[in-house]
Amino acid sequence: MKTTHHGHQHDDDDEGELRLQLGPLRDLHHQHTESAVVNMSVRVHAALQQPRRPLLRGLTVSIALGLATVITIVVVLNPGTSNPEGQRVIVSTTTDTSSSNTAKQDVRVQSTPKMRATASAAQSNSPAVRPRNMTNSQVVLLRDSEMLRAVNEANEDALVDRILEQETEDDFAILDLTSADVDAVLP
Amino acid sequence: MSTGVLTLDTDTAILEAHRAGDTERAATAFVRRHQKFVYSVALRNLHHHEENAKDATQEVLIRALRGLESFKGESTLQTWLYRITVNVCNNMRRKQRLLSFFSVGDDDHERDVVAADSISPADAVAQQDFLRYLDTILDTLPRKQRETFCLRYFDELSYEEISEMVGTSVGALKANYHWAVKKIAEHVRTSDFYAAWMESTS
Repeated sequence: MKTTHHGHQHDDDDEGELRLQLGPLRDLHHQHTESAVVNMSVRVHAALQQPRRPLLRGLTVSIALGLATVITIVVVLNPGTSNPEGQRVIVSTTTDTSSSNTAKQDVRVQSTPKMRATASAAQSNSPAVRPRNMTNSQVVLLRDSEMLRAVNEANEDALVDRILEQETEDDFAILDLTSADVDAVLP
Repeated sequence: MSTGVLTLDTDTAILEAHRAGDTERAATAFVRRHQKFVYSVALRNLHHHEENAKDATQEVLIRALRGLESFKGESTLQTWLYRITVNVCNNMRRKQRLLSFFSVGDDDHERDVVAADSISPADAVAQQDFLRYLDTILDTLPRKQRETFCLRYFDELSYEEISEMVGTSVGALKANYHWAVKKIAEHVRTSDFYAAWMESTS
């Protein structure tokens, strides 16, 4: 019987057979591993002296990266943040074959909730809100809340001036105003 | 105090010394006793890449030493180390696959595995690269046969210990070992490279 490195015992016959068949493979393997791990004890002791890495460091980095990604996506893709006016215009050019092959531009305006609310107010029947001499479709196409507000303010002033000039109830009819409209603009 | 504890030549003595507070000496004895086995397993699990196997060995031994306090002794230390090694190697391979997917790091991590017969005997003998030749032979075996053969032949473990490590019955292990030896012997017998190598070393 032969005792191995780990204290196990093999029959000599088995060993002889294996040695005959496989040659010095085992010895070579042991020589190789022996030389490979020659400094392992030093490496392990040196590594053990190093302070341990914080367990949550990896997790913290992952969370920070995730948050940064989410913030980036929100900032880049949110139209309200990237474009304060909230306007996103999609322009597509199509060729109209029925009108002498003339190129025709089809311009569509994609609105935001804020714009829709402004446009809805502008489309209401109140002349105090709707600028005079403008059709509903013109108001919708205007779309710009700042411009709309400026026009409305100018019209309000003009309206008050005209009401004060006429001073008769009949004149209100000429102006096509309701009493509620008048109440709204008079102090 | 017993002689075994003084010399720390058994796992029990190492564990006792570690629990008694002699951690420095226990760690040294622990590393010296198990480093070859861990390296051998790591080398097989990391495509025979020596530097990666050394890093894995270091990582395994550090983890084991840090967890030695909690080792319950339900299995042998060697079985415990085998499982840690396989886990560490799996993690390393996964990490390398991820890095290679994003093309980060060294592309030469994976060692080329060349068919045994494609190595020119003269060149290989000149390079003394017999181990590489051996690896290529082992790579031709099915995984279970290769692992059983290596644990039995190189690491010199009993079938019972291997059975505990890999979770296969002793009978199946014996069959795997038998077939592995037969195939390797056949390869060695018919190999020009092996003959040239034997001639050069005799």
